[in-house]
Amino acid sequence: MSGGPTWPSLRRLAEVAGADGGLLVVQSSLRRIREHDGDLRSFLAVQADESDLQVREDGPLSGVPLAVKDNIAVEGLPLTCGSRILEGYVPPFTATVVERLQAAGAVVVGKTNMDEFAMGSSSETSAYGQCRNPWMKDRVPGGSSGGSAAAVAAGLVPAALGSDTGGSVRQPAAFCGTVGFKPSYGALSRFGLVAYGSSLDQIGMLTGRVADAEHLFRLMLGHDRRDGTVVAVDELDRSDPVSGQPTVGFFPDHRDHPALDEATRVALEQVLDIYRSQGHDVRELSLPHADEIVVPAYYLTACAEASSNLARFDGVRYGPRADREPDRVEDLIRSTRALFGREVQLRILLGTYVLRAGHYDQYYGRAQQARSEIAMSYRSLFDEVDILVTPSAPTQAFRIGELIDDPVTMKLADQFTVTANLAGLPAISLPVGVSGGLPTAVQLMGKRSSDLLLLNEALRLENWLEFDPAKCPFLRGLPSLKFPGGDVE
Amino acid sequence: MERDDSTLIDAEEIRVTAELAALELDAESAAALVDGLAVLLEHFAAIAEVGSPESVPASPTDNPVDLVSLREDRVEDAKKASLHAAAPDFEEGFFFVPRVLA
Repeated sequence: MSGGPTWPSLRRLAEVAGADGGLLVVQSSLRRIREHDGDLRSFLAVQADESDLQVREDGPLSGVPLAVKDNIAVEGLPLTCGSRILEGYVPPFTATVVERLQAAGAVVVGKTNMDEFAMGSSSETSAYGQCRNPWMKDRVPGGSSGGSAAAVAAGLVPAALGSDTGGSVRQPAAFCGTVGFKPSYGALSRFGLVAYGSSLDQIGMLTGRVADAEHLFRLMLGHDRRDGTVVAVDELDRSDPVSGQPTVGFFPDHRDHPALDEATRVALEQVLDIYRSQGHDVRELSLPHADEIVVPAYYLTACAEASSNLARFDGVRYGPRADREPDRVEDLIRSTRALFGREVQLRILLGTYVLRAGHYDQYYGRAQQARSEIAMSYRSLFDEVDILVTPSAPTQAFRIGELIDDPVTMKLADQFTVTANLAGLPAISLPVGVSGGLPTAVQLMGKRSSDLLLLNEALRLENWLEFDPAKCPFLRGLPSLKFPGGDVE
Repeated sequence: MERDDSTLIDAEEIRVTAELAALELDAESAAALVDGLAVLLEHFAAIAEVGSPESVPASPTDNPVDLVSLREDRVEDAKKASLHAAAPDFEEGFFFVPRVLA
């Protein structure tokens, strides 16, 4: 069966789009979104007025359409975080990383659907409708950056930004058959990203290929006086170049994990076999204790930070207020915060509970100790190997509604992704193949600040794999892409 | 794992926690959240297996990065038009907002 029309690389796209003022490509993307997003529901807001758009002609992203997750600020476009509590809010500024991509010529065509305040792994907690997986419409696209992953996989845009607090870029990338890259903590400015777990949050990107993720990453890098956590670029560039073949590590415990489905196990084995056949030293690793504590340490930390970060949504400063004429300000705050959905309320409650006097040491304090242990363990581990291969998620995309009423199973499924956030490591999810009509994936992780090395290794692995994004059934319904100067495939 | 009594949570605990979190819960939400929170806390009790504060040599928080720079603390030109658009009204240098105090 022939595949559908896919986007050329961002570099190539910028060459052809920039030559014609760029709007033709942007218009192709906007037309695809308007005509085909329908029940996919990957976008929450779409750029309405094309006449104002101006495109830099000779930039590295000239005329490249870009989607942005709806928790990242773009001046003039609504920002809801998928929540009723921010309905109608339009930020008066643009996130630093978006500004940098716009300066390179990119055009933001819309804001993508997401789990409310990035709290979820299925995009089912969005207050604005269920985003669907373009490979199989009864499946979730993953989350929380499900809209960004679905929009890229469905060919509506060639690239999208997401945010990753515990896997929210990598897991949806795995479910939708795209590349999903979470840089090292501090590699990119988070100014303009609505905070969830501030010590874990990182902006990442979802693209059709590794080279596109690297292209965006290099353009987004750099010091930002508005975010003091940004690591200087030269620190990232100082990563030790690996001489010869990188050493690859994996955990046999992951391969044999009872929650892993067969397709994911096969994909992991396939990648390890490729590394062996290419002459890499592939080593078996073991951190048995870490596996048990990463998910609790992650959720206790993230929810504690969220309970503090989300205190600002009180009906006074942002978005709608539920009670126009309150008798007491407390009534205004409580009635407005009733606009939070159930999952957000649950995580705020959990975070508040574990920070309460009497519970702090038992939960939050222990979580921070566990986090230190995990970070130390991985630092030692990366003395032994250069690249770590793990599953991105235990399973392929699950059915809509399958896990939403199970508060534990969906959270346990984050166990392969949360480590990178707890330890601040760079990690990337790559599609491996298609099984049962859905993509499979693996995750590569590297040591802290080895982002460029990790991307380079991901590029090599991608070339050895034979995943074809054009096989996504959704693409078969799309018209071919027309560019200035004709075909650019 | 044997259930530890200290992980038990009841409706009163939820009520106090919700008050601290400035959340107003109806009976249905409160019941669902009691269940959800109890299940999560029971599962997360595994974290107690991490040693006591004295036994862990690491600092309790492994700060992922050192702060590399802080900006100078001074007033900058704001993009006034878009800021004004975000407020109900703006006059003579002041934001007019709906009343929040009686």
